[in-house]
Amino acid sequence: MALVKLISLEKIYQQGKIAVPALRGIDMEIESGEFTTIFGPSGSGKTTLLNMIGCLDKSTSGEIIFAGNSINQLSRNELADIRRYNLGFIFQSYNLIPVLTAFENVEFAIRLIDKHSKKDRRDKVMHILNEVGLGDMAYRKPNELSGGQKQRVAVARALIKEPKLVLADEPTANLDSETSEEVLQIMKKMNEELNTTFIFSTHDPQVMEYAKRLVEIKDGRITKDQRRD
Amino acid sequence: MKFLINIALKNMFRNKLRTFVSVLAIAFAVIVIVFARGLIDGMIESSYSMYIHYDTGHIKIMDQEYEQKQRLLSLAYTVDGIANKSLSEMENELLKLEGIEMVIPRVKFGAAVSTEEELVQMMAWGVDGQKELKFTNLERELVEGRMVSSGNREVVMGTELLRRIDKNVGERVTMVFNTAYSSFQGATFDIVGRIESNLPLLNKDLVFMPIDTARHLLYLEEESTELLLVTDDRDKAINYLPAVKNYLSANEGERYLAQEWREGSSFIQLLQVGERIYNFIYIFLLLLASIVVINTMVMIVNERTQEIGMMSALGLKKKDILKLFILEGGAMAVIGSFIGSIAGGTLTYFLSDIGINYGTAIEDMDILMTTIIYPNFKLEHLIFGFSLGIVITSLTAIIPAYRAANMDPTEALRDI
Amino acid sequence: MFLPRLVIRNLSRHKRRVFITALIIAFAILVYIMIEGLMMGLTEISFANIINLDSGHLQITDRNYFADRDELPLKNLLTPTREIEEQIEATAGLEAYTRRLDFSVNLNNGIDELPVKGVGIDPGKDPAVFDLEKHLISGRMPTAGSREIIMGARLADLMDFEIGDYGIMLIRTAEQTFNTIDGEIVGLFNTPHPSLNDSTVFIPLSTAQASLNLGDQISHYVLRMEERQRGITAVEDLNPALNDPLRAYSWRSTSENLIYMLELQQIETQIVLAIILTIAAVGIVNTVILSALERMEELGMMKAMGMREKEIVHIFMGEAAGIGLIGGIMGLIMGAIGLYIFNHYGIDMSTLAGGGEITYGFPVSGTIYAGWSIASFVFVFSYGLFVSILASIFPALWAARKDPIKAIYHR
Repeated sequence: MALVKLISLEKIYQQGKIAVPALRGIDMEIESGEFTTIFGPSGSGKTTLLNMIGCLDKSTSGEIIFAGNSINQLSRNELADIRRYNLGFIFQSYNLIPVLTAFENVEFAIRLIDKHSKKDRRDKVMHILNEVGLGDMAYRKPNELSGGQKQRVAVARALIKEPKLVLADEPTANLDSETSEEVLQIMKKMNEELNTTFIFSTHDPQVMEYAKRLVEIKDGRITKDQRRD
Repeated sequence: MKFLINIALKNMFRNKLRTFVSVLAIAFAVIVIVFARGLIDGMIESSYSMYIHYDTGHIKIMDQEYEQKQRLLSLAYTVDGIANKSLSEMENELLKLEGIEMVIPRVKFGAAVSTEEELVQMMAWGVDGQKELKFTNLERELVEGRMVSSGNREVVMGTELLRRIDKNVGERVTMVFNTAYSSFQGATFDIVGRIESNLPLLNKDLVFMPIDTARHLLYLEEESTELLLVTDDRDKAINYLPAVKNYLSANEGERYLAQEWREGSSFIQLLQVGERIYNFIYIFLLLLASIVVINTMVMIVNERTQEIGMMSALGLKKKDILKLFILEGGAMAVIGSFIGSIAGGTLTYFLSDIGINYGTAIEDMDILMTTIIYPNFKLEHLIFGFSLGIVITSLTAIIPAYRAANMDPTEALRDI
Repeated sequence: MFLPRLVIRNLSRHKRRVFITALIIAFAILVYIMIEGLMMGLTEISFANIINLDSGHLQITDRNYFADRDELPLKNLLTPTREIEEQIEATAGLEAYTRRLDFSVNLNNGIDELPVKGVGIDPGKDPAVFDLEKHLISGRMPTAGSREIIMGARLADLMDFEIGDYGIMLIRTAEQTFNTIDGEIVGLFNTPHPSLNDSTVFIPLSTAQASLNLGDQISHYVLRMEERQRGITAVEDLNPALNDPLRAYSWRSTSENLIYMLELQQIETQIVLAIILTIAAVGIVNTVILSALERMEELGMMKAMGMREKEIVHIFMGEAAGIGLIGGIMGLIMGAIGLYIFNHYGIDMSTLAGGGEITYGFPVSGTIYAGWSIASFVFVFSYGLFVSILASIFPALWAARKDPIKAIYHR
């Protein structure tokens, strides 16, 4: 069974009196464990599509089925619960909480699930920070970290709760190619070890090389969808 | 400058909610100020006029000794003419002095009415009915019957006093009193009028009778316990006072004391001190409200660091940036103060008819004040609140504006 | 303890902003504590003066008399009996009791006459209940059965009396005939109760009764209890035992006007507090909105991570509570210092009255000291905290409702 299934998904933004269509009917299935990249020119609807899948935004028409359940009728709180337990996000601008240390930022994510004891939590956070190579920077605040380090904290934060699906919106756009490589390596490793499903949006060719499936969208429609092994 | 105003106004609408909260804070403080000023003005005005009407006049002439013994209602220290002139001649001469419009003689004495249960004590005033009506607000408070007219044995009393002696208008009452020769006497009067006032003195202590009747009964022909001078303007009374004093001393009248209304009562002096203190309280209140504006402005300055850098890179001077931010704070101040003064004015306007009832709390106080206080609606208060709001808020806006103006342009631009 | 830590960190982002917003709350609390302290001091001294000089802790009188007592009538008086006195003596917590007779007098000095209140006192028992003797500034108390009187020094001054002079007291008997007492002035007092100084004359009870033709009737019994509170509780013990028209009245019911005035003052204090706290509330609303605007992206991320709206509201409420707490503590400290200064120097009543003699009807003169109570500190502190938290709810809801997408891509 597909982890996410999109059925003729449409999204129209109302900007003043003008209706701007962002997605014009997307049909797509994403299987568990896939490492998918959505690419396309700016304004093609990549981010909108990602937000739809991430239960952050509601569609104008069409349906999203997540792990077998339609999310169309869910309340804001129920959507929040899906995000809380099943999804991880990584953004271009990292979006770390500036007053919390790297350790606390990562801890924040599993705090919300709250099924671990204090010691477990600590071990888990330190483990994943070591995995992303930040073990010795755990107590630094975001403004004491470089861009790559911040994004690695963001990756750790997205992965710590072992979500079914990680959505990454242009995660390497603010990073140089070497740092991008490192971050992507980490994500690839997670994908392989934990069978976490990844969906990227990007126009960075470097990211596309890692992808096992490439989806191109233009003007809110899928124009290409190919799998690679 | 016009250009700066333009930017400042546009900036204000960048985040409407934030601007709204700042405006709200100023508006609230201004509402309180406008209303409090109206209320205090109403209280002070009514007290001033009560004191002037029922105690001090604009200028009060009495015997030096009498001043200390006013409470005794003594008849031993009267005003009975000056040099070799009679009291009427003295009144006429006083009337010729600059600014004096009316001379009101009053004979005050203690009297009592004996009822079945008790002896009801009261304060009797021999007055010229026509003059009193002209000078005081008695006409409005005379709810039944008419004022006393000269030559008759008649009285006008307060509602509460009539209740205590269990009489009505149209009935007769016998009063006992001591004459100037300390003889104990009684006389019977027609009750011709009833006063209903929220000034406790009028309602439950005072009885008015014609002054000639009082003089006759007390053996005080051509004498008065005091003379009240009414001038054309109470605020000018202090200017007319020297002429009155000169007149007294030029006519061997050293035993008389002429007092301007403000000196007559410590309560009036207290109110004047209070008025000044309240002005500081208003400023304090606005300073608290400007804290909200400062917070917002500090955030705006932080948020626009890059813009400020950009502007100085484009050649805007320090002074211009300072102006820009003060204008933005000033615009909020103007809107907030405007809304506040209109709302405060509206509130005062409505309550100026209804009044605020202090009930019996005032009855026990040894001051002349009505139990219901009517806030005074005056454009002056609106303008005061409006201007104070603008001035204080704009002044506090200087702090964050100064910070913005002193930003180093290269530092400011580095974030880009 | 994750939320508190986040709240503290967030508060420390803008220390100055937090501080000055808290300052508004601190001022509200300071003003309240000062006014309240002054009022408490005034209240305490007022009641002490009334109890010690005028009403005692408890009075027993005819209920019809009580209603008209201000008019000093001579009807509905009570005749002392052994039975009543036994009941009084049986009252728990009683220290002493005495009989008094109030009557209306016109005091005459040969030239002028002034209506005053005459009080017949039992020279033997009265000093055990009232403090009058302590406030004598010259002379002595009247002796039983004599025609000796004492009065306030101010009253004597007004009427040109000195010790040894005779004051003619014109009275009207119960049968409505006039009578006079030539009272020899043997003592002058100056109490902190202004109306007592200005218009009361004390005379031995038996002399007053004889001159008024009242036999042994009195207007009321006055009881002194071990402590003030007993005066109120003893009313309930006494009332069932007393025969109808007789009733017991505590010092609280005898000073109704004062209590009414204090209540009115209390309302005014509350209004002042409410005004300043309203400004504080706007300040808090402002601070929450500013913080939310600054942190839009963080809020968006928190929502993306699955935080519920309620949890985000809690963060902001926590911050507002923090500001309230800081403001509250500052206010309490400032208030305590203020009260200390008040009490170190004392406040001259005449300064409050602008140098005049006005006491606004409070039975107080001279220097007063502010009072304070833990209860009022706790009240104003919790009130400030409550207003802070309450004020934060709406802007916090506003922030939490923001569309997560718009929040993440803020600007």
